[in-house]
Amino acid sequence: MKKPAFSLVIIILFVSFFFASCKIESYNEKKPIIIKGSDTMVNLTQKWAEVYMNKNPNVSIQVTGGGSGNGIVSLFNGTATIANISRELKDKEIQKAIEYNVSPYKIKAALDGIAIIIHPSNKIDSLTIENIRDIYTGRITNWQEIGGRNSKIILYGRENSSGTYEYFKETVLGKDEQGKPFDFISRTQVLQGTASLAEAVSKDKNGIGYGGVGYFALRNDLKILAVKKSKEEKAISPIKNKSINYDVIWSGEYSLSRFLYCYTNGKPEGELKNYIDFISSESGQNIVKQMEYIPLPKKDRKQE
Amino acid sequence: MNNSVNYSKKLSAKFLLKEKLIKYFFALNGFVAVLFILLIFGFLINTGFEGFNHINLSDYFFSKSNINGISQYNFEWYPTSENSRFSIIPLLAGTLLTAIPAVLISTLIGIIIGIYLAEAASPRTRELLKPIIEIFAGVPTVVIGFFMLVVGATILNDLFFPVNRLNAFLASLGLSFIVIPIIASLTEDSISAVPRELRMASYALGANRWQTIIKVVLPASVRGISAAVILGFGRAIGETMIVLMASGNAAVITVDVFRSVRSMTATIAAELGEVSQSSPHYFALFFIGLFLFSLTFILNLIAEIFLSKMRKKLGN
Repeated sequence: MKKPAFSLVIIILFVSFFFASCKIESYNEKKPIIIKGSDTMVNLTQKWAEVYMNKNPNVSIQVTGGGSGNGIVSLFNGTATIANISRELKDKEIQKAIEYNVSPYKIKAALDGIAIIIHPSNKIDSLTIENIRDIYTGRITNWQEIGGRNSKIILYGRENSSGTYEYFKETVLGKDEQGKPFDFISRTQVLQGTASLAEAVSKDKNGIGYGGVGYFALRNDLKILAVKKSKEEKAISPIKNKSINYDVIWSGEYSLSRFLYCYTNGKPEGELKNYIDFISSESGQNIVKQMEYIPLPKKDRKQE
Repeated sequence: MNNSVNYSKKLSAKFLLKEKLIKYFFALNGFVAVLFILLIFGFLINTGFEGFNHINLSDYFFSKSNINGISQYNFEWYPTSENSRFSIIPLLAGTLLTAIPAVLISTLIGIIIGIYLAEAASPRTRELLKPIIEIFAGVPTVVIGFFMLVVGATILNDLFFPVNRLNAFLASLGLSFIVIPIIASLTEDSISAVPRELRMASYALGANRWQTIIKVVLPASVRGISAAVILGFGRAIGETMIVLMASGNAAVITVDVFRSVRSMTATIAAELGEVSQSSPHYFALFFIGLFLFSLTFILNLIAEIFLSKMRKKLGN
């Protein structure tokens, strides 16, 4: 009775030791580059990693999302080599870096534009930043007030941990006279991810939402609004003939676009530098275009 | 002769030892399970109480603000604002507004199914139907959530023209998918536990089948059915994925089931993943967890008391 159980234990021990030793060996052979951070950048980074690993089979790159905030923390505590961040570091975070003895080094990776979307049946074509702010802070509640049909505005937004949420809150909602940031009105519906937001707005005649330009540009069941900096200025749409209008985004004429960054601990060296150079090279930026993001302006690209 | 007695004595001694070992093994398992629950509870309490260094207990329910000398009470969940507000009232209201309609719907349908299975269905139909209903309880909730989001929302929208496309009622319907099997199956169990003698006595007094069910069987099993409803309520409160996907997640206080609401579970699921540790927001989420744990714990306890009382009564 006892014997088979005993030998089973021995076998399990051997097998587990075997696997454990395998793991350690492979770990030494390939030092993986671990990338964590912004959910908006995950797809793009995965594609970069895939192409780069095909070219350099001895390098392994692991990509996970989890949000910009998560990426920064991972870079600080050493569980990530690169942090993908869809905004610049906050003062609080720079202070924390000193605490952790990490010196964050910023690299421009690509751009991302936020588009304001509504249902295609809505008559409105453009809004000022102020209009959008008033809508999301609850001072405008009916489409009629800004020249639309007489019905309530239904607000869609993102969860408060997403980079898009923070970017929108900072640039669109902004601050009042005393420097206090405005809050989203609490009836804003919170959706998980750009895809479900697009789905919701495409089915809601009175809905409005926001998210990455690249994702919305291809969809026919959504209308992308042109945005005015102020009432007097020209309305600028991030879209021209069903494709992204790069010029207005690079020049900053379109107000709702942002740079996406990779942060490393100190200036990148060796294998890490090769990878970073690949990102900002012409072929790396072609991938950006393929993935519906916005490539860096020519002057920021690396010559091959 | 002597030999065989000795042998059987030896055998029984060996058998007894084995029996004892097995007993201890199971006792240990039970103990470990209880220990883990206690540890989780301890961790929740510990972290939740640590949060009181950052947030007052009253802040979890309302925040006071002074506007032009008039003090106002504010019930808002807004942890990422510059002046953070941590009131769990809108989240509690959201949870109740999704769970209560779900339990009402499920109680009605679940009890009918339970009665049918226990009293009316032939043994063959029962053997066929019961597993099917129980399988429903095992459908991954994300699948139900996705179904409500894509198909359910469109149908509901065309029927009722709700204020919000994704609303509390949609989430309640989704929740019913998992609560109905719980209530139906437990109702069936407790009706079947009613002794045959009671029914026979009722028939002997001239009652027909319907009268027997309504006047004799149901009153006898009312404790079990109440327990089923309470357990279903606990499940509806604790469910995360369906509510997260279908309710629209707007943290408002409302009694209109056709508006978006946000539940406590959905808030934890959406925000805990990325909140920076040891921030007030982090502790506030743990407080919600503690609150939720206590709520479902109390509900389950009440259900358990009901069930044990019923067993005693029917046993006598």
